[in-house]
Amino acid sequence: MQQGYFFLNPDGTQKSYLSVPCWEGRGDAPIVLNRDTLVTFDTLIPSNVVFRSFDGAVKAKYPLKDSLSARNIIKINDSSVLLPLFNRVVVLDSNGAVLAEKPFFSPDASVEKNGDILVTHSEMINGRSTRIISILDSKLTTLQELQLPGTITIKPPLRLSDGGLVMPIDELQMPSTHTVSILFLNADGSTRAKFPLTTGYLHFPIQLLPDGTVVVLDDNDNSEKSRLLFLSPQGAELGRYGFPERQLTAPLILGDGSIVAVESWKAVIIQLRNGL
Amino acid sequence: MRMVFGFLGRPFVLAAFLALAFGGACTGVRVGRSTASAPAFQVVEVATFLAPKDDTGGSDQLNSSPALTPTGEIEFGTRSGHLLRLKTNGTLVSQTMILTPSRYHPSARFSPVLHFSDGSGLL
Repeated sequence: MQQGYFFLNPDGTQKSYLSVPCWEGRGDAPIVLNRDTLVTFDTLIPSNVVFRSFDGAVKAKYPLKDSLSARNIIKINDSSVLLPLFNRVVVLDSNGAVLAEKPFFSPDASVEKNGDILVTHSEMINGRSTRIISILDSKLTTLQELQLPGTITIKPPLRLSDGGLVMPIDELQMPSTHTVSILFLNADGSTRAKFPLTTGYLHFPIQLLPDGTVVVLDDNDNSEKSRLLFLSPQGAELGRYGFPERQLTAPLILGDGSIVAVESWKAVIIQLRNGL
Repeated sequence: MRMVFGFLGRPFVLAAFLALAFGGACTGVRVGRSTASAPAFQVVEVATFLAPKDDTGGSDQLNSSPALTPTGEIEFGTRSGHLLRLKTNGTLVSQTMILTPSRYHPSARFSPVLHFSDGSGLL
């Protein structure tokens, strides 16, 4: 089985094919940093972040050394990427050079539209592991810190239109169970609402519709079915759409708020409408 | 006698109070759902698209996350190696062979197409 990238013409036909080593890519889509640079992982030991030009040449490598558990590569802009690693967050330029670095324990991250970086991470506070959201600028200078009460964040947060935050959380329940919920925070970090899900693991990131509605693909682990939930920024359920089987791909949100979901043999386009 | 009615009356008073309380609450919820502060939303299926037949005559599988082209079309990869483009009303615009048979593998999956501003892309 070959592994590589297809370059397409505007009409969708194939322009060229770039073959890459089988140890590169890790099954994830590459980051297209700009018109000349792809950024991806290889799976060598130790692993590298690979900067490759569109003709296939390797421009640069960033060795992960002590950190094999890099989660993902996040594009900040056309000239820099963000790496949440096991024990730090790193910003690299398009040549693989380190622009900024800050230690965090078990971080995950997302980039806001204004360029601010949201990092979720753990810290020992009063002898207890506590999850924290740090809001940083592009130089990784801390702008704000929000402490989450007794929860484990499983995906990075999104910013709501009113300045609040929304994120999936995974809470440990004694003795050995856990529950997954969508947590809504106010801008000052106080809890606004919490919406419980049926899934034991959220497979896809939450998304926002253009009007600020939160979209969550909730898998019911027992029934092999999925449901798409629509939640208001206040944390109330506005609607739901059930799929006959588990969704294997993330839904696509269009500019008019329509949602495209793939059900293996068919695609559906759905909308949340005000019934009045 | 007054004591008997008083004794029997308490449950009726209680029942009447509960009926009022719960009835009022239920009415409040119903009214609340139809007010502007809590509008009634509904999820509507506006279009569906069934995967075309593959070379064997069976139904092909859509096996990538959907992507949006710069011209507003929806794009999928299929198990047989085709790239499909749809209008947002679900009609098929184009079907292009991307994976040639020599490259075809039953477990092959497309990642969503990454589009550039001129319409060209990469997957």
